[in-house]
Parts: sequence; C-alpha cells; structure tokens
Amino acid sequence: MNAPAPLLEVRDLKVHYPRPGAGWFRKAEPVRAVDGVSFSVPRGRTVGLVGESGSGKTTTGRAIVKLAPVTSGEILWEGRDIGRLSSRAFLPWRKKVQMVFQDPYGSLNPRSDILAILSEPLEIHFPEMSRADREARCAELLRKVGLKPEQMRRHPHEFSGGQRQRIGIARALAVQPELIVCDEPVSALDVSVQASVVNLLQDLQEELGVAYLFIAHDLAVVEHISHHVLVMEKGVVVEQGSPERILGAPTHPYTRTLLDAVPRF
Amino acid sequence: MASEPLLRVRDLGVTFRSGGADTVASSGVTYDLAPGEILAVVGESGSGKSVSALALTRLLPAAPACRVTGSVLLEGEELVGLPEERLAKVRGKRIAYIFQEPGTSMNPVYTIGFQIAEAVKAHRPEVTGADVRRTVEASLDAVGIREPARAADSYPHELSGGMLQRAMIAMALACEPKVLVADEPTTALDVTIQKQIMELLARLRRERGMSILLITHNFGIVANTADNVLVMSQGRVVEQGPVARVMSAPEHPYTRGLIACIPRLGQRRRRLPTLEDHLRESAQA
Ligand SMILES: Nc1ncnc2c1ncn2[C@@H]1O[C@H](COP(=O)(O)OP(=O)(O)OP(=O)(O)O)[C@@H](O)[C@H]1O
Ligand SMILES: Nc1ncnc2c1ncn2[C@@H]1O[C@H](COP(=O)(O)OP(=O)(O)OP(=O)(O)O)[C@@H](O)[C@H]1O
Ligand SMILES: [Mg+2]
Ligand SMILES: [Mg+2]
Repeated sequence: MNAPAPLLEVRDLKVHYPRPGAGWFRKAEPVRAVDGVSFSVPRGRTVGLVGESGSGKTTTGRAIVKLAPVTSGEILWEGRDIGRLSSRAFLPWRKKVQMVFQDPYGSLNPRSDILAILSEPLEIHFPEMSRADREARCAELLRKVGLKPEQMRRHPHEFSGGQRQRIGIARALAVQPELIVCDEPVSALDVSVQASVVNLLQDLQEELGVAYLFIAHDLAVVEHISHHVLVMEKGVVVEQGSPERILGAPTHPYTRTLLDAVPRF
Repeated sequence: MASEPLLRVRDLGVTFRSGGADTVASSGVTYDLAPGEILAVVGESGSGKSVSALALTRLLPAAPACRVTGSVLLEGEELVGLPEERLAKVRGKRIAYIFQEPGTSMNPVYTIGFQIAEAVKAHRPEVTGADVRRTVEASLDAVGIREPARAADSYPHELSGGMLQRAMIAMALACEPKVLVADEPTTALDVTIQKQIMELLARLRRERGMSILLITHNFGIVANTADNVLVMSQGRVVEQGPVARVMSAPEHPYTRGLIACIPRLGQRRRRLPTLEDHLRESAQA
C-alpha cells in the first residue's frame, strides 16, 4: 500500500444542469456548473474554497453531501466512491459529512422551533439518546455559537440573519461529523462573533480532528483558517496551493484580479 | 450638507411581544439621511440593524406582536402610524429594499426575469413591449451577471447565492427609489463583483441623488463608500459621525474593539481576536 487515502477525494467532478428556458425541441448547451474539479481534503485539515460568484463552489459542496446530481467523476471517502450510492446506502455518511448552508433561512424549517431543528439530526443518528440529553446537547451547542439556550423555543423568523447563520452551524456540529462543508458560514457575522466562530471551528479541529471544506469570500478569513486553498472560476479550479502562496504570490490572472479588488483602508 | 434631509428618523424603537414578554429589539435610533448621502450602519449581530431598517416602512409583524415607536419623516411625511395601504405605496418606489436574505424576498414559482419585469412595469410605465425584456437583461448585466438572458429565464433556486443577491439588487434599482435600504448587499459576492456593485451604487447616488442606508459588517466597504456611519450595539446607537473620524478616532469602546478585530490579509495569527480579547488587553495596558 502507498500512503493512506485522504478523508475525501474529488476526482474530475462534473455537475451539469439543463439550460433554463430550453424546451423539448430546443436542444441547448447545458449549464456547466462544475466542469471537472479535482482536490482532496485530508482528515483534520481545512481546505479553503474561494472564487467568482457563480463559479460552482456551492454546487461542489452540495455534490459531496448528495444534494446536487453528479454528472460524472468520483467522490471518494477514504478511497471508496460515495458519489453513486443510493440515498439509503449513503445514510451512514450523512452523519460523517454535514453542511452549513449559504442561505440559512431557506435551510431552516420555519414551522419548527430551534430545539426541534437541532434535535432532528440527533434523533436520526443517535436514536438511543434520551430527550433530556438531547435538550442538554442543544443548549450546549447554542452556547458554543454565542446564542442563548433560553431561546431554543423560538422559531427561525424570530432571529437576526447572523443568529440564524449560527443556528445552521450548531446543527452541523450536533452529530460530531468528520467533515463539514461550510458554505459562507460567517458572512453574516460581525467581526467579533465571526472571530469566535472561526476560533470554535479551529478548536473542534484540534480536539476532534474535524476536517472542513470552507467556502468564503473573505480572503483574510480563508487565509487564516485554511491549510490549503482552491480558487474557482467558471466551473473549474484555476489555481491551488498553500494560503501563503495563493494569497501572497498568486500566479493565475483571476486570483490576481481577486486580490487587487480587496478593499484597502 | 445643509439641505433638508430626505429622511428624518427620531427615537425609532421596535419591541417584539411573544408569550406575554416584551423584547426591545432597538430603541432611540436617531439620524438624518440627506439626498445622495450614504449612511452605513455597522454593529453586533442581533443589535437591531435590520429591524430598525424594516421599521421605516413597517415591514414587520403586525401589532400586538410588534410595536414601532418614534418618528420617521420621509420628505416631511410621517410614516410611523400610516395605514398599510399608504405604506405599500411608499415601499419600492420611494424606499426600496435589498433584503439581507435574498432567498426570502423572491417568489420561488416565478422566473427572475418575470419578477424584475413586474417591478419595471410597475415603476416605469414608459417602458413597454420588447423593451421590458431588454431593460431586465440590461439591469442584470449592470450587476455583473455573466449570462443575463439565462439568469432571467431561471427560477430563484437555479441561481447561485451571489447571483440571486445581485438579481435582488437589480430589482430594487429597477424601482428607481429615492432611498435604497441595502441590508448586507454584498455578503455573497466575491471582492471583484463586490467592488463593481459598490461602484454602481455610488454612481446612482451621484447621477440620481439616490440616498442609501447601507447595513454591513464589512469595514472595507464602509471606509471606501459611506459618508457617515452609525454604530449599533444591543439595540442602541453607541456612536455616529463621519466615516473618516469614526474609523480613525473611534470614541466608544465598542467601536474601538470592533475595528481592532477586523481580520486582515497577510497577518498570520494563531487565533482571531474577539471583542472580549480586545477589552481584556486594553484593561491590562
Ligand atoms: N439547480 C440548478 N439548476 C440550474 N442551474 C444551477 C442550479 N444550481 C446552480 N446552478 C448554476 O450553476 C452555477 C454555479 O452555481 P453555484 O451556486 O455553485 O455558484 P457559487 O460558486 O456557489 O456562487 P456564489 O458565490 O454566488 O454563491 C451558476 O451559474 C448557477 O446558476
Ligand atoms: N420577529 C421577531 N420576533 C422576535 N424577535 C425578533 C424578531 N426579529 C428579530 N428579533 C430579535 O431582534 C433583535 C435584533 O434583530 P436584527 O435582525 O435587527 O439584528 P441585526 O442587527 O440585523 O443582526 P445581524 O447582523 O445578525 O443580521 C435580535 O435579537 C433578534 O433575535
Ligand atoms: Mg454559493
Ligand atoms: Mg440583520
């Protein structure tokens, strides 16, 4: 055997969608949301993913958690292809891979209170857990992301944008996954709360060895948290490497344009 | 600016009532917005920024679940207490919103193009026929969307987060409002497109005299585009003034802490400092 397989390896992933507005008789080029992307995420590490809006970052993340259709390519978990499993066969991986969604409001059931939202994954993956233990775990999770456990009976619409974003983070942490796809997890947070959430993610990585695919537009945060950085443009990875190299001495013109646009003040 | 303010907000407060208990989400919010002015609102997550902005045209739950107090004068007309039919006329045409969560304000069953077209037809009756579609595509192009025709034919869930956010910006701008409330308008955008959007907004305020209430966590944007800034913490305004002054010589400890916590490129630190870390350090110094 050579070196052990990484926790996650994505090989030549393509996700194509039918073009909107195209009919049965009007053949049209598909929308190539992701068009041949390869990278790997080692256990306990953070891979940052930056790039143009619409370049396929969310779609890549969604394909990993089986929420986007894989057109071709492989998604390997410790060497085993999980990209083509049926939903049923994928179930054991649902606990191992969680996602923090870019749109917190759309991803939280408006009719459930926060306790029910955070309990759901626990009920599925830890059926033996008692009600009281679940409630205690939810309180602990809320405290970790800087929210008040007293508010667990409130519904999503009674929170601010940044508070909802943190509820999404708490939900992903609930089942102690091995990999979390974090899609813009701190974009709605003030710099201080953002810092405490980033510190929390790093602490969990040190303690439990969680790995992250960290999608974000804030290059300073990506530089801080990542061990490796990918840059995407138009469905493909145009450049990847260490954060020091990518953000300090980029070679691809798109990465340079990106760095030039960072507001200076 | 000595000119009469377009918007004059005095002692604005929002209180929610649930389960018999009142929660004050914001109180004592006071500011003027001059024609063509960009006023930034920054501050803690949950400090009442969005709620105070939604209160201007009462885009909040009805009483008794939610109470709005104080005064909002738009070109001399009091908006607080105005009946819903009159407020509905203010929204869009006079005060338009770019909401913090774009997904919630688009209708999932209509295409993006249809929804922007409705806004164009409602606010610019002179645009008719094929010009409507052309205007829609031009407005999507203006916010940097690569394939405006494809975006127009898409349903909201077929767009990326940042494309949807820009579609909403295009829709708000199609109304040619006097006041634009932009609540975190660039959170889903990469820095190049973020820059393009901020330049577009700056041009519209120059050309049309549109005023902008800009809620953001991004100090880079505040420093580069706003005239004045208002800092909120725990439901209150703790500091306000010209951007250059507040950024270079913040008076309130909360503002000082916030500015000290801004992460910057090329500054490798083991941990990102939080407000608590900053306050602890300055107490020791
Ligand atoms: N369900 C879908 N049907 C059709 N097209 C889609 C669908 N989902 C995404 N797309 C298209 O795929 C492309 C990539 O979208 P994606 O959401 O992955 O971008 P992103 O990199 O996350 O962008 P952002 O930074 O704006 O969130 C976009 O052009 C989008 O319109
Ligand atoms: N419908 C509601 N019912 C009860 N409380 C609410 C409601 N909407 C907001 N709140 C509360 O009001 C406070 C202010 O919320 P607001 O959305 O204005 O915060 P914000 O400053 O915009 O924060 P963020 O930066 O996270 O978006 C929060 O504590 C929130 O929990
Ligand atoms: Mg996305
Ligand atoms: Mg808000």
